[in-house]
Amino acid sequence: MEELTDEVLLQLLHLGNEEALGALYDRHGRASYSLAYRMLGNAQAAEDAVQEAFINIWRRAGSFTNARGTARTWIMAVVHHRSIDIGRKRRGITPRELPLELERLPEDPYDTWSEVSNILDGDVLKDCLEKIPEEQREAIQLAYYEGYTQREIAELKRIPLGTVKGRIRIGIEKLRGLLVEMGLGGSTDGP
Amino acid sequence: MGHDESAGLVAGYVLSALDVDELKEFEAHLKTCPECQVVVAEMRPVVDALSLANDENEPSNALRERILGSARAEPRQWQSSGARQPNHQAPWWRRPVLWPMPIAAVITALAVAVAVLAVWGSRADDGLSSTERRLALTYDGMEIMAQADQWWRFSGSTATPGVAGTLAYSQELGVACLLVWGLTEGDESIYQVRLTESDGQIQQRKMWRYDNAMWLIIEADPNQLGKLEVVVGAGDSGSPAESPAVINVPLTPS
Repeated sequence: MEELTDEVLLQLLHLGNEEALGALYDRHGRASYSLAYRMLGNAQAAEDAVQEAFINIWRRAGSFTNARGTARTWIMAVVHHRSIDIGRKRRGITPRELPLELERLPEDPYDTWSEVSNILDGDVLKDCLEKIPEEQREAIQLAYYEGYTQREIAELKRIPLGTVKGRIRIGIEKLRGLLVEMGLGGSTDGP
Repeated sequence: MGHDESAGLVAGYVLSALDVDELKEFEAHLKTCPECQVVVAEMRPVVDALSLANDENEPSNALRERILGSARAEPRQWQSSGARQPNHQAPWWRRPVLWPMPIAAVITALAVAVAVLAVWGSRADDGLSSTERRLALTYDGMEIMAQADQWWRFSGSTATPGVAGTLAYSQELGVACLLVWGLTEGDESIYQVRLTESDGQIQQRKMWRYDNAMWLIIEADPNQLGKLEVVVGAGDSGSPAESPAVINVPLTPS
C-alpha cells in the first residue's frame, strides 16, 4: 500500500476498498488529528472530527479530482471544515454547514501541499505567524482555527467588518510574502 | 455581487470565514472572474500551510479501528442499488502482500501465481455485473500496484479536464494496471484502451468503468509498447478505432 499515491488510494476507496481507507488514515491521521486538536482543544472532540471527516471521505472519495488540488489538501480541508462545525456546536454557535471542501478552480496551478509540506514543519509556520502584526494574526487565527466568520469576528472584537477583512487580507499577504521569501508558495507564473 | 465587493471576500473565502450566503455568492462570482481566481490561487498556499502550523498530537490507537468500523457499517451505493452486499474482506490470496512478512517467499510465490491466474481469468469477462466481480478486479489491480516496479502518471487532455491517472507495471507479474479517475459526472461514454505495439500492431480493450473512475489490467509490458492511449469507443472490437485519443499515456517512466 505504501507504494500507492493518495490519489490512487482515493479511487480504491471509491471502489469500496476499506484497506485503502486504513492506508489513508495511516498517512494523514496524525496531521488531521493535530489540526483538529489545535482547533478544538479537546481530545475526544478532535477524534470525533477526524472520524467524521474520514467517513465523509469514504462516502465522497469519488468526488475527488485533481482539479481540486492534491488529495492531502482535500483531506485536510475536509478535516478543517468538520472541526469548524464541531467547534461551533460546542460553543453553542450555529454550525455553518460548510461544504466538504472549497471549490477548486480548474486553473489553479499549484500543487501547494506537496511543495510546502515537504519542506516546512509546523515550527517554521508558527514563526511566520509570529512575524505578522498581532491584530492580523489574531483575526486569521479566529477565522481559521476557531471557525468564526469575518462578520462574527467584527462583532466579537467590536470593530468594523471592513477592518476585519483588511486585517485578514493583509495578514495573509504578509504570510505569503514570508513563504515566498523562503522559496515556497510560488508565484502565479506557473506550477 | 460586483467585482469590488467580491474582492473584499477573497481572504475570507480561502480561510472558510464567509457566511453561507456570502460563500454562495462569491463562488458564483469566482467562476467568472479571472482576477479573483488569480488572487485565490495566490492565497491558497498560505491557508494550506496553516494546517501544518500545529504541535504534533497523537490520536488514540482506537481511532483507526473506530473509523474503519464506521466505514464498514456505512451503506454504500451497491446496497441502495439492490445489488448483493460484498464481502469486504477479499479472499486471502487477493489481499495485498505487506512487505516484509514472515514466510514472505512462500506467500509471494503463491500470491504471484494466483494473481496472474486471476488476471488471465479476468480476460474472459470484462463486465462488472456484480459488486463481487468489481471488487475482485479492484484487488487484482491493487496487487499489481502493490508489487509495481514502474509508475507512469498522467493528466487528461483539454478534452478531459480534471481527469488523471496512473499506470503501474509489475515486472514480476508481467502485467500492468491502468487506473483513470475524475471523469465528468454524467459522462456515459465507453472508453477503450488502444495499445500500439512497437511493430505497429494495434489492440483495443474496453476499460472497466465504475462511476467516474475506470481501470484495466493490461497483460503487456508498457516499456515494449509504442503507444498507450485511451479513446472513446464501443465494446471490445477487433478493428482499431479511428477515434482520436482523449488520453495519451506518456510511456516515459515518472
